[in-house]
Amino acid sequence: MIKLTGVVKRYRGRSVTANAVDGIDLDIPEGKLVTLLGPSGCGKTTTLRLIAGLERADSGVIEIGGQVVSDPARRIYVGPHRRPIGIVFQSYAIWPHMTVLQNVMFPLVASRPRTPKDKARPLAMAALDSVGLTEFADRPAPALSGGQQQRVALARALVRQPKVLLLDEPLSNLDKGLRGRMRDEIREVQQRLGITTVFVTHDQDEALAISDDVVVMNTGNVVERGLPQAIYTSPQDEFTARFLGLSNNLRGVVESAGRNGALVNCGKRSLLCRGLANAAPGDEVSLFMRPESFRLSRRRHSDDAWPGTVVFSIYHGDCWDYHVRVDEDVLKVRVYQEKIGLSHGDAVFLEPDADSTIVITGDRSATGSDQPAPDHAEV
Amino acid sequence: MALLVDETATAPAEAPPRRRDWRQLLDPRYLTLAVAALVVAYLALVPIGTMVYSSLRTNFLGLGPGTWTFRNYIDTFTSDGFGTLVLNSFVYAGATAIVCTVIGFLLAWLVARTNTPGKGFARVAALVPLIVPGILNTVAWSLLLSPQRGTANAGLRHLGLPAFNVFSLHGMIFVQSMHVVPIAYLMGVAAFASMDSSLEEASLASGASPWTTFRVITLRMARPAMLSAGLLMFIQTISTFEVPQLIGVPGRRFVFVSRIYSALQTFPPDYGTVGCIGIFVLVIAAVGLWMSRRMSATTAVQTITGKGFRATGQDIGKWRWAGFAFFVLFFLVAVALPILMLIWSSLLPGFQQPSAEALHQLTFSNYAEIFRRPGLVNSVKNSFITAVAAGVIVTVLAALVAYITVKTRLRGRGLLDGLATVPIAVPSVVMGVGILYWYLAAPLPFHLYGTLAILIVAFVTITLPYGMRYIVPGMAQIKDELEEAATASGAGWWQAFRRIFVPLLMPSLLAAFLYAMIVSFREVSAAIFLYSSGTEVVSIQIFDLFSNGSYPVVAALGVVLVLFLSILAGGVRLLTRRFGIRNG
Repeated sequence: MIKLTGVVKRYRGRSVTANAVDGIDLDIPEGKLVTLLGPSGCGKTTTLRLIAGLERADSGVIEIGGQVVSDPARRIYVGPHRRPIGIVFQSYAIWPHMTVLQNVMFPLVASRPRTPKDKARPLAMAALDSVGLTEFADRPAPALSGGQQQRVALARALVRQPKVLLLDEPLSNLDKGLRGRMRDEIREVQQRLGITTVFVTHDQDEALAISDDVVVMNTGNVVERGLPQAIYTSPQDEFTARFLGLSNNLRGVVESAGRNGALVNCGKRSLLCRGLANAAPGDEVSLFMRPESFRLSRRRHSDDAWPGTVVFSIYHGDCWDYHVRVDEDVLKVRVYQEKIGLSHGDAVFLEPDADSTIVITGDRSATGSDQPAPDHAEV
Repeated sequence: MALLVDETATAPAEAPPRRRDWRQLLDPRYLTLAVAALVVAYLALVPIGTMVYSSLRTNFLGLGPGTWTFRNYIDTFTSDGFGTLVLNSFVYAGATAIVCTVIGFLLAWLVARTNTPGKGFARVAALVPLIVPGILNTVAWSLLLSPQRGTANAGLRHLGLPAFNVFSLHGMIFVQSMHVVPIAYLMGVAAFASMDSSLEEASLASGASPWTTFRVITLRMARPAMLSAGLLMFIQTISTFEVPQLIGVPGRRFVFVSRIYSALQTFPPDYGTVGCIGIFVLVIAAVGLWMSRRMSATTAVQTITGKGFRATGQDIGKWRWAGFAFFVLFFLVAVALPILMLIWSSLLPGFQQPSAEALHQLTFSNYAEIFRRPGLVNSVKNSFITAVAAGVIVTVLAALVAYITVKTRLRGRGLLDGLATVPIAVPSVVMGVGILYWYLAAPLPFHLYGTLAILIVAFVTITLPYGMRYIVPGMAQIKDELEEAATASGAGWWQAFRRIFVPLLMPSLLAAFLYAMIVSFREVSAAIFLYSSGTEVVSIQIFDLFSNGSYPVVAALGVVLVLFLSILAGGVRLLTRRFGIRNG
């Protein structure tokens, strides 16, 4: 439905080395919700604005529904008002001088072909109905709360039945409780209408919860793309792993590889990582471990356990966070056991969970986005 | 003294029932603040009060006793030509307001919201007329466009076009517009810069064409700001002196301001009529200002939205070259032409058209002449004394008032804040006449009329609101804890004020001081009623010399003045930029 090929966007006046969008290839299939996920400045919003036509690409081709809407090489550029899109902005961009209904009717009466007012009104009311705001139709728009403005923006984006729905961090201005509800509502509407949707966010939980497909971006490039669960459980790239909160990172060298997996040595410790079949002894790898994947105890339960010392502890109510020094590394460990109550200086033993440890080989992380499908790195 | 009773002193429930220690009122803190508050109240209310009084008295400033009467109003409003006077004034101010709002907002939109080339240049060009005093702008344009000898008219005739007679209502509108466009431009920039561009993008993404978006969203969103700016231009225009006097009077077009001046020039002066017209203008200005405030207040809340705010330039395609042409045209007409005219005439012994022969006569003798004329040197000295004195007084006063309104809970602080902004609503002409009347009529133990002090009083009153505008935001930025920490360290109030607030506020204070100086140097509308022989300031000298036809010396003096004011304005800009003072 949406296809980007080698799209580049430069911002004038910035250093030449960093393009806002640096030759992106992206294919978004019909009816799917694809999330662009990344830290601020990674180019995700610019990509969205390029699809909308609010920014002009410097090179590359953008297609929507088979129609080329932007190709600077062939001097093709279709303005945003001629593209079959609906967009929801981070700030909602509800026009304050109109009522709610006027806001939602606007796309119908302003775009070509124009819808006559008598037909536009019921359509707009139907759109308002789908977001549950019928009774607010004649209110002045600024009189609404944040969540309601958000819904108006969604109704306005959908009212002329666009082929593509673009959402630019639509939830980040809402408070926490409302955010989850709106997120589910957006997903529900999207699936009901089966509309192709691009969702931009910097929040990994949002991205994992809502998407058919997650595209991780950094410095104007696609780092990695995959199903939410694949991205979460087996990221292919160090950047993705870090961005998704895999805070414990150890460097290691493959000692031996066999059918059962590879034995990876990190300093004085070693760990058997299954599934790393194609590794050869001597390969440098990166290990990522989630804080909650360790077993922590005062006594040594197995020979694989690593001895360490607690340097720092934080009590969260439902869990404890400990910073444990293991030789020269400090590992973050989370324990969901209230009674454990360790304190500074206690000697402990850490048992890493080999099954949930993620191994990323050195050459892979260097090559960045050219990743094969994520199916064999899981351990 | 009701202003200065601390609410918190009586607030705690366990405190002994309402017993105020009289010594508390002698606290230097309260004394200082009380004096500042009284001075502000005096400055703000006296001119208006005197004006009202004079309009309601028979025989005001006369020898015999007077009585209360409405006669002045009845006579003034029913006199021959009052209808024409009102019509002329409204057409003049209304048309000027429309012209400069359109030009100013167009410039602002091009600069703030589009990708028109040459924005930096336009930004500077649009602000230059702000530095050139109105009196010089008027002088330059009457040299350029006088029907027979005007340089620009000679050029027009050369091209076979009809000459433009500046001494007409059109001429007044044109010259005044060229002068006040920057204010409209600044308000436009503020309006467009605070408008979230996703509002326009949402419209484009809804399928509206760029033109529809501009009409239905951009213009509609800017409308309150435009109306508000238009009203301010209207007030500014209806209350200033230079253009009506130097351009309107030769063309026999009288408006309120020039009517007031001529009524005071006749013998015996018609104080009653002046009072009535003054009150009339004051009411117009107050109502206009009130409406303008209301409109801009509603927009400010509405257009600025939440976090995802961005104001980006819109691509307007080929139209950007039309925009660029507009920049260039504006620069040539509003900036280059008058300034070049001043420079040119300052370099020639007598007024003549630019030509090859004239080039051979170029001379700096006019600049030397400035120092040779005793009256001129004296007026420069007077301007310096009054501007510096006004600057210092305004800065100190505004700092104290800002402290009361921002940092204390004293009862009546809102009223005080209001009083300090009252002078904005008082047209400078009314201010001048009101102050003149007060110091002529009031039974005071000292005589200010005929001294520089009366000019200083006028300049302080006129610039006080601007001083507040620089200092209040700066004061609001200083956290209360900083003063509390000083007090907790054993510093008295005055010491805390001097050692904490003054150093932290220094950039704002300096900016306020320089700005008050600039305004004082340019001010003519009030000074024209208050000077006497020996207390002329530079702007008055320019007016006098020009009326006598000494164009070359006026031009030379003007060039020097513009250079000097540019340096001061550069100082203000540097300060506001570096220290991020927001001046509203």
